[in-house]
Amino acid sequence: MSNLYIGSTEPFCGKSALAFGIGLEAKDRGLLVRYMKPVSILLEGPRSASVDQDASFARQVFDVPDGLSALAPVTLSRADIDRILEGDLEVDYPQLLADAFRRLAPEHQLVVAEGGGSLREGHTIGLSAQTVVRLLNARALIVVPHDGALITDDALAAKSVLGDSLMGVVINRVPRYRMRFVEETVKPYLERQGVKVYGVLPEERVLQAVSVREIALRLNGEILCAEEAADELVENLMVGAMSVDSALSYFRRLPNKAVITGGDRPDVQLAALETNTKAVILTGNLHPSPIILSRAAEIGVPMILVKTDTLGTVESIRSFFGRTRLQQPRKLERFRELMTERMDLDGLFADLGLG
Amino acid sequence: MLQAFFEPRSIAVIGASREEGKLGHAVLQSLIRSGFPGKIYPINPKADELLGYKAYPSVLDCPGEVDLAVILIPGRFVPGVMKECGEKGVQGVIVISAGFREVGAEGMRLEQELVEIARQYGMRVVGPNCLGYMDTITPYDASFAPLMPDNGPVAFMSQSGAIASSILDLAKKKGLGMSRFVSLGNKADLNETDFLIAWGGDDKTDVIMAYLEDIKDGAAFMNAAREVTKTKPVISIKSGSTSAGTRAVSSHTGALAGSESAYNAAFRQVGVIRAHTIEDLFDYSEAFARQPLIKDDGVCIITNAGGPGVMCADAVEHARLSLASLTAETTNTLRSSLPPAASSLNPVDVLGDAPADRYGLALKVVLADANVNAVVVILTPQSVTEVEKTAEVVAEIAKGSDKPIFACWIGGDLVDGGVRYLIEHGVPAYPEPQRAVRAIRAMLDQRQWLERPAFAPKKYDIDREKIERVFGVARRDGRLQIGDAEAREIMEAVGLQVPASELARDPDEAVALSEKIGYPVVMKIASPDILHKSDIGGVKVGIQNASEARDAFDLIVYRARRHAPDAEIWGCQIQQMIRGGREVILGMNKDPQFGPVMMFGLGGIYVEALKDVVFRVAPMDELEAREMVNEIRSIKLLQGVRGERPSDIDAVVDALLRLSYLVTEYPEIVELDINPLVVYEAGRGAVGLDMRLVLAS
Repeated sequence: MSNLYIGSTEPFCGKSALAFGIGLEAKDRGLLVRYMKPVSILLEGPRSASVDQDASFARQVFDVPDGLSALAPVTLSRADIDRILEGDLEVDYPQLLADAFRRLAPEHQLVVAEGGGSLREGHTIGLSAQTVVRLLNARALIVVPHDGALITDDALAAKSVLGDSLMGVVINRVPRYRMRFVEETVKPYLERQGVKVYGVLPEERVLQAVSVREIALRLNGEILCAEEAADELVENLMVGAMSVDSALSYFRRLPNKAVITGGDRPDVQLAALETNTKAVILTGNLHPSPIILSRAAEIGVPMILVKTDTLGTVESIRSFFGRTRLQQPRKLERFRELMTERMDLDGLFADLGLG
Repeated sequence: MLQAFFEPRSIAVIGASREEGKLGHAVLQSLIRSGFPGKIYPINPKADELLGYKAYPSVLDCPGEVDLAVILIPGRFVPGVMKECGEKGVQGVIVISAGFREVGAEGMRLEQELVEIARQYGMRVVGPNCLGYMDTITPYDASFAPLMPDNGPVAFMSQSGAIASSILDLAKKKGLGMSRFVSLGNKADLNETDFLIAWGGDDKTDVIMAYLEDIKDGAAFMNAAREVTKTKPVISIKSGSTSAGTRAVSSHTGALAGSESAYNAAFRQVGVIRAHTIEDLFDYSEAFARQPLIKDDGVCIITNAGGPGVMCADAVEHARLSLASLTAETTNTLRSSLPPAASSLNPVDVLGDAPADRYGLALKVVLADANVNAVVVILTPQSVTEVEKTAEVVAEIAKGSDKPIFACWIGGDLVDGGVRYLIEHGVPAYPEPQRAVRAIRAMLDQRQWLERPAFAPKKYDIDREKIERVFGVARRDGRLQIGDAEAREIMEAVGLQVPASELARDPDEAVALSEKIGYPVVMKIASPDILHKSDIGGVKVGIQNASEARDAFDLIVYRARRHAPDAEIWGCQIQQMIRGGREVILGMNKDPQFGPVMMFGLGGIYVEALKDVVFRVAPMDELEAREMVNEIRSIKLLQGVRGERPSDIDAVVDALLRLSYLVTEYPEIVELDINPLVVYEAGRGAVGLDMRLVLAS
């Protein structure tokens, strides 16, 4: 049995995608695979919501029947952390994890353990990345995003934290025009420093996309039409507050977008519908003209009615746009395509002793 | 194609009702009253007999064939009866019922279902959500319009039912007879283009009048109109020309109105005469319907007062028409027959005491003059004026004239009798000379359109492989915008001249290339992510030597990095510095209704501040491109002022045509501009300095 820990230097940088992608790849190679999330510390929102979302997606992907405690044995909310600091909650978390891990069926050939949002996470409860890696007797693969700190700093810091258990890194979200530099200069540099680079993956807007439904949910909005297209992914945001002549020209610049505009701007709404738009968000709680709703329904673009004004709506979307969970199967599919194109998967499985 | 609407032999009224005040009652009554000679089948499951006609529970129960069905039942039941119509073999359906696209998503689905059923059975549909259809030839009235017009040569289509009611009422008052009328409604199936084609081939129709708010398929409309307008005048109101109007149209029709400039260009390119008011629509239609088409420019004015004659002369010049210069023979005849105080020059002043026969004499004399092609007869009611008798004389002469004659009886109650007589006897009468002159202008436009050579766009030999390679690379990188070196390749591929230019990746290369191209050079940041290069200080002109070249490279790249840290930077483009010449701008913006609309103007303030630009829908032919260039107000600057030599206008026309061909062949281009194209002296060509284009996503 081989254990692979997948961590990252920052949150929302493709860790789940890589864990799921490698898991599925192993399945395709005929291996018996097990996914788990050893530690989940959720500082935002209620504990159940997001863990359940991730877990249910994991169950969908890996087709496993286990309950939440097997998939995510240590799950803590901010309230739990507060109680630990106050001394009200005393649990031997390392023991809890070790027990859960021991209960995993021994016939598995690969356990993919998804780490936390950074290499700092988990110290408070005695389950830092390096402790988890040691407890699970795992090898660690770390995702380093291009848009964070210097890639080389992040990668070398990971090495100094994880030492020999670090098998290597995957550099993710590299803008297309930096690909060559990262591949030809950064990768050889890191490898000279003893950090193996298993892959350099380009930035893909679709991977950071949010579904129309999720936007509607987060904005407390009402989907007025074309609900069947609510799972489409939004990659860009644009605000429509200009004259109709410039609107068309402006909206043409970005594809797969959500357009935020007033309910009282039929001309801008139609201009948005004329271009590649996945959703029109109508602000100020102003219903659109029925005939425009018809047009949107005709071409299958949801219109979302929200109560906030345009500025408030933009601020609210910005707070979560691009910081999204994997969730959609389409995103995972695209990520796997990128992995196949850009990662040394054979090398990775060979290094795990599964080649 | 629309035979069922032209000559129906039987009409079913589905939803006919005995209750007065219901549409189903009004429509059945209109149909009976219109004198329809065929079979009428009221359909109502709850009635045996309606207004004296046997009623049937369903169209399927009608004993004979049914050519046309009018549907008045609530929207949600319409698909069901449409199927029955299909089974019965009905050819044409007029859906008056509302409750479709105009009410929202549910209605939209209903409308789609309606269209599907029609396609399935090969039926054609007018509406839904319309006033109905009328035909004064068969005759039949399948509408709930307040009245049926008199028979006449004008066919009228309206996108608005309400405006249609007003226009029908007005037509009745003005005695303008109509051949056919359709209220287009939601245009789910049949739209303006279908009726344009059908009426274009209709020998009972001489003039087509339209009130439109949008056009379903601009290219199809243009193709049809280009042909039809060569056989009969098409006059159209297109409402929604300002941003407020556009917004109103948007929420009314659910279609993004094309830009005003696109409509103007399109109408003009296909010979559709645009009316801006209902008054214009009538004034022009009356002129076309009642008078022979003008043969050439040359307007003669006959008046019994100086003032209105002067106003009319002003109007003639404002309308880009000219007063006919009367021949010596005409002038002499007038001089010898009119009182000495009269003016025998144009405007011909027959004096305030002119009786009817003096008008008659003057009118006959000027009509005989070969330089006169249209006459405006002005009458002011003075003490001895014979208002009615003069009308009789003018109408009598007009009857035998092959030149159009327009009457202008100016006044109120005093002239009413004369005006009525003129209208009843086929002479368009306008209350003021300006309106008569505008109608003459519309007529001359039609004449010039008829004489214009057929539309003949040319093909160009362009390097398709190169164009597709550039587009392919951009798409692969997820870019929709193309500029700089890539755009330069496109310009080369379509056969435009570009200055020598090469990419330098570092300062040493910048120096080497500058020396190769020859100082002075221009240096520009090369980055697919920076479009407005000069805004960020990414352009430096007039670089004279190696040290300036080195400094400029470092400075430009530094500024670019600072302003756009995420931008991909390839280096700097070193370009031959172009001196002299005049800068013009060529552009294209894709209009939602008409497709690619080309733009032309002089560079700098002429476009930005003075908005001195001209538009045409692509594809265009050489004549159109040449007119386009000649139409800018600042054309004198290109033709050469103050002793300057003229610019190479042929090269501009050629560039416009090549771009027009490019955007027609590659519909994925949604925007494009060359700014500037530097035009040299005549015979020396033009060079495109900078181009930018946007691809559809």
